[in-house]
Amino acid sequence: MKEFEHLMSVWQGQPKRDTLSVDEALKQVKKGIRGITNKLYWGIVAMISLIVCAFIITFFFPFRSPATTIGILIILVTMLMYLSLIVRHYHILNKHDLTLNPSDYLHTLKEYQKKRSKLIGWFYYTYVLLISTGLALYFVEVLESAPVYFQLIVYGSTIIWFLFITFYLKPRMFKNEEEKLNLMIDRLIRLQEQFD
Amino acid sequence: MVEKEAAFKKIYEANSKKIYHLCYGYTGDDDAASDLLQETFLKVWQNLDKFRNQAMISTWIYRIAVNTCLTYLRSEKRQAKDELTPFISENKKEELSEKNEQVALLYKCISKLEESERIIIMLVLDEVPYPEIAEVSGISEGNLRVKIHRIKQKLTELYNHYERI
Repeated sequence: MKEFEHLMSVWQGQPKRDTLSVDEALKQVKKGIRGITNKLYWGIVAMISLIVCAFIITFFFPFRSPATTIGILIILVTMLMYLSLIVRHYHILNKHDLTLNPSDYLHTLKEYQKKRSKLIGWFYYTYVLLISTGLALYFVEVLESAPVYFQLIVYGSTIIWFLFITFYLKPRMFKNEEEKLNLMIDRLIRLQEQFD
Repeated sequence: MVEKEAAFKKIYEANSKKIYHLCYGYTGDDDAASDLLQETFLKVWQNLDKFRNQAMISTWIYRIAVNTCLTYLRSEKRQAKDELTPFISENKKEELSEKNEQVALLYKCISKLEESERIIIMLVLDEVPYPEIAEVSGISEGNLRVKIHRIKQKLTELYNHYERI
């Protein structure tokens, strides 16, 4: 029959576990925060690479029809618009250190969420419209000498791809991001309430 | 910034072990306890500038840890586990020393207590003064003494019961 004092000695004599060192803990916290912005960063890198490719195609490939050049330029401008948008989003998320000021970070996240909903809305449809116009103009010359069935495959698969992104991928991707953002915002609000 | 890091390091070293035990007592899960420990200290870091009363820093950290654990249990709809995972069971694949077995049994008994009882008893086991326990748990000191007496009895009975099995 053990007394409470025995339980106390068991508790206090617990083997020392290798907990994280304080430096490691700090490092992990900061690493977690970096993870949030990493996805946007790679989006920016991918977009810059695509723009460079489009740029090379426009100015180093000899196209006869001005429609092709106009098509590529439309694509280029649209991608630049998108790039400037995600760079701005990246700056919004990156301008505060979450570990230093959670209230500012909360404000930042809300601002980001608002901008993202704009992106899901009218900006996305403008983007798809412009890219489709650009591609259509580009394909006129590029597919000129291709057999009809090949042209149909290219146009068909491009249309299917846009429909797939618009009606399947986009809602899921943004829903996922929205859920994560809401969770983070909820946590920060709770945190703020705890200390107000 | 350097000053803040130095202060944080001191606080972390003085409190992390106890806070880990508290988180482990709540979740019964090694990974979850480590995550909660990290989340608690993230909050400590974020709010260190707002903290003025240095004498009660442990109470403040306990409160953050308890809130973090409760939020975890509620929002994730997780329940504290009956059986313990890694920390104890892994500790010794070689062979559980008698001491480790006793610690494992104690955690098992703690996990059988009510949520509010768990925090109180873990603070009692850490020999936190009663006024601090009252502040962390939000119970008046008068009620707390009665409650602590009851929880001590309950935990001892559970411990003796499981020890016999």
